[in-house]
Amino acid sequence: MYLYIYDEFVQEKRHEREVASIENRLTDLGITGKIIRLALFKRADEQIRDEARRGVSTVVVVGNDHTVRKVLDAVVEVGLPLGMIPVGGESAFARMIGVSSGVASCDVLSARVIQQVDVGLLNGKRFVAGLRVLTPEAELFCDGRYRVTLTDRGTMEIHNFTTFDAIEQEEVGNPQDGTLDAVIRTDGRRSFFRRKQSCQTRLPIHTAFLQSKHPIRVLCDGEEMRADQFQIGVEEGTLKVITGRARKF
Amino acid sequence: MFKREAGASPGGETVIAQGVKVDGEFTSNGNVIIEGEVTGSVVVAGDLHVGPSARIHADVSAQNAMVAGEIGGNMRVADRLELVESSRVMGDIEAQVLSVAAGAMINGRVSMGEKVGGKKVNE
Repeated sequence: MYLYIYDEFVQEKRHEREVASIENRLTDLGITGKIIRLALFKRADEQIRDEARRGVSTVVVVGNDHTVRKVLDAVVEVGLPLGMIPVGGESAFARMIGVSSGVASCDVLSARVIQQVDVGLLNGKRFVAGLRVLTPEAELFCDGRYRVTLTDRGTMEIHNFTTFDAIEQEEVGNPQDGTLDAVIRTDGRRSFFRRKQSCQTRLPIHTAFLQSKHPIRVLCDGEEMRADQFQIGVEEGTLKVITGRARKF
Repeated sequence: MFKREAGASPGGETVIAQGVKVDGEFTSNGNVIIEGEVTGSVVVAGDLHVGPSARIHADVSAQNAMVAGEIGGNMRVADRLELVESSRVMGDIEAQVLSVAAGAMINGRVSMGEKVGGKKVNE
C-alpha cells in the first residue's frame, strides 16, 4: 500500500485542481493509498513509522523540496522507497530523480523503478542533495587526515548530488559511490594577459568536520542551520528512491 | 595522460585548485590534479598532475607524475616522472623513467631503475 504525505501548502485552494487531477490519475493507475495531511503541529515522522508497522510499502511526498526534508529521516529509518509528486512549482529533488511535475509524475510512480542512493549526515540530521557553507573562514577537516582552507575568496560546498539551487548549472555528483564531494570554488589569480579564472577543487570525502572560531552557518537542502561545529558523514545506499528516465545520476 | 584545460574539473578526478590549501596526510586512490598548496604528505595511487601554480611542501608518491610547479620534498614515482620547464624540485627523486625538460630545476639526488628503492610505490 502507498502512503501519500500531503504538505500543508498543498491543501490550499490554489492547488485544488492540480491535486484533484493527480488523484484521478493515481486512481486510474490503481496506486491510490492512505493520505496523511501535514499541519502545523502534525509531524510526519511518527506517522510514517506507524504506517510502516502497519504494512505500507511506499512513501510518496506530495509537495516540494521542504516536504522531502521533513520526511527524509523517517523514510530512511523505516527503509521504505520514497516517491515524489511535485506540487506548487519547481522541485530540485524531483529534477534530480527525473520526476516531472504534476500528473506525469504519477506514471513514474506506477513504473516503480527504484534506485538506492547515499544520504549525507550533518550533525546527525540527514540530507539528500548537499550543503553550502555560508561562513567563509570555516575550515574543513577531511577523513581525520587533512585540513582544507581557502587562501583566496571562494565558496565551499559538500555535495551528495549537488546543492538544490545549482541543479541545472553543473554536473551532478554520483550519489551511489559511497562518498560525498567537497567542492570549493575560488577566484584564482589574475595574470597580466589573462582574466581572472574561477577554479574548482573537488575532493571525495567519507567524513568531515567543519570548524571555525565563530558560529558556522550552512544552507543544507535549502534549510539554514547554525552551530559551533558540524560533523559531516555519509550513509551508503540507505535511501531508496523511485526514479524516472530523466534522472540526473 | 596529463592533458587538461586549466580551471576545469573533470568528473571522477580529485582536484586541488588554486586558492585552496591542504594540510596533512593527503591520499587518493585515483588520479589527482594539484594547482594549489599542499603541506604534509601526498600519496596518489594513480597519476599526479602538479600544475604551474602548485606549491607542494611534502613528500610525494605516485604511480606516474607530471610536474610543472614547485615541490619541496622527496618524490617517489613508481613508473614515469615528467618534469616540464617550469618545474622546481627541492628534494630527492626516485623514478623508473625520468623526463626532464630544459629549464627544469632539480636540487637533490636522483635514482632511476627497474625497482626504485627496492619496492613499489604505496606498498
